[in-house]
Amino acid sequence: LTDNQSITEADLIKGCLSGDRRIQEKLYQRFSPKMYGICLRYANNHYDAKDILQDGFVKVFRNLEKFRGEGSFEGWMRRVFVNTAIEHYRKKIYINSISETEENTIEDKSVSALDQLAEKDIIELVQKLSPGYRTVFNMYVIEGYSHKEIGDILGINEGTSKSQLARAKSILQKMVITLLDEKRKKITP
Amino acid sequence: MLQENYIKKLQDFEAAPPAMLWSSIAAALDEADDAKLFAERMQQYSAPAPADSWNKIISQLNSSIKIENTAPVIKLSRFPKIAIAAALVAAVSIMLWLSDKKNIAASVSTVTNEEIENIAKQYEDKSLKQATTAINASEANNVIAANALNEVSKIMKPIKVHLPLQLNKQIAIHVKPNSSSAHAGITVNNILANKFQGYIPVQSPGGELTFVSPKLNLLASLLQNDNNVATSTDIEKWKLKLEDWKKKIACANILPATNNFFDILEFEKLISEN
Repeated sequence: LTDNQSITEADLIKGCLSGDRRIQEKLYQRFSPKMYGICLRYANNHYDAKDILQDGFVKVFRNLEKFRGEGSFEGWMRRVFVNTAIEHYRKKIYINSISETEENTIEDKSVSALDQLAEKDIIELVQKLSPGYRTVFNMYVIEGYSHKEIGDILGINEGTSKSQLARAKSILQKMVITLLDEKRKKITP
Repeated sequence: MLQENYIKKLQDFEAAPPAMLWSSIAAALDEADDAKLFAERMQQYSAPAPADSWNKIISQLNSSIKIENTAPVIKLSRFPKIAIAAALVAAVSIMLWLSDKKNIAASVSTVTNEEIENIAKQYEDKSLKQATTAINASEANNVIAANALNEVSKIMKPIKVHLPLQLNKQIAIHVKPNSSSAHAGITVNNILANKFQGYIPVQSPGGELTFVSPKLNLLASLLQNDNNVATSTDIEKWKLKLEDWKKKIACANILPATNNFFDILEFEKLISEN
């Protein structure tokens, strides 16, 4: 075990709460790759992801006393970073309101083709979605929020969240197919 | 009893499920599993954080600590807030009012100073030059100057001459009227004399400003027995001259006055004729 891994999570939290900069850095080193992965999914690009990562860790260190030990620490941190990312794009998350009739016509399909892609490629495709689609897709498909929870957090109704997800999946499906075609063409010219 | 059997029969009823149903269920389960796996896969995704991120986080944390240390939050209820705001508004208003007042005073003073400067130049260009030339010319001229000074000292009242604001001083030239004695108390300020290029400004009771040569400084000092200005040799020499001048003036028919003081050449001519 490295020095970083030898410290328990409880010790890390305790050290961070006492304001020990050395321990804070160890916590950062342990969790920053995963948190940066989250930031990349919610961001448009690497620059925004970097800003979200920075803001997220500052929030973690400032609000650490609010973590009561219920559930995993990583889960708590993930929520902090998701909220930070949503906050970052809140003004840009423009959600097209559609009628209930329209909502019912949208078919929710799974984007099965995503399985064929590497995570890095998937993230690059997700980044191409508009902030609204991207946020709902991330929250529902990856973070596991319910449509009701998404609606509450983003200030939209449940049906809108569903329709956003369906559209996001539809767009992603098309992008995945296009990408796979390009890859095939590269292999067999 | 019969009814109970019937219910049991219905509960135990078994039927062959539709063909291909299991494949549909399995597909649905797979889909759910796939989604779960996909989500887990994406959740586990990690990427190395940018190299300089930690430094930026530290600097942000440090800056927030500094702000917390230097700027304690003072919680005030509504009334103190209103009171402080009102006090601030009042203080700013008073400052503005005082500033306006000062500006007005300054502008008035400036005009006055400009006027004085103009007068100084005017006199410098005309008779005053003639007067100083005459004083330097001869001993006889010194007699005239002494007479003139005596006359001026008789009619002058204590006056104050305000220097331009730039010098930030108020310097007084006191020309005290003293009818019983020709040795009028005259105080000449060298700073003021320097301001008017060497000439001493003297103001009459009517407000007319007159400039005389700084050479009269020594004379004026001797007249009021101010021995600090000149050396003992000078004092003795000038005392003798003054006594001589006084005798001559006492015999003269024409006395210098403010209206003929500056026409000193004409004055000299008149005395010579007499």
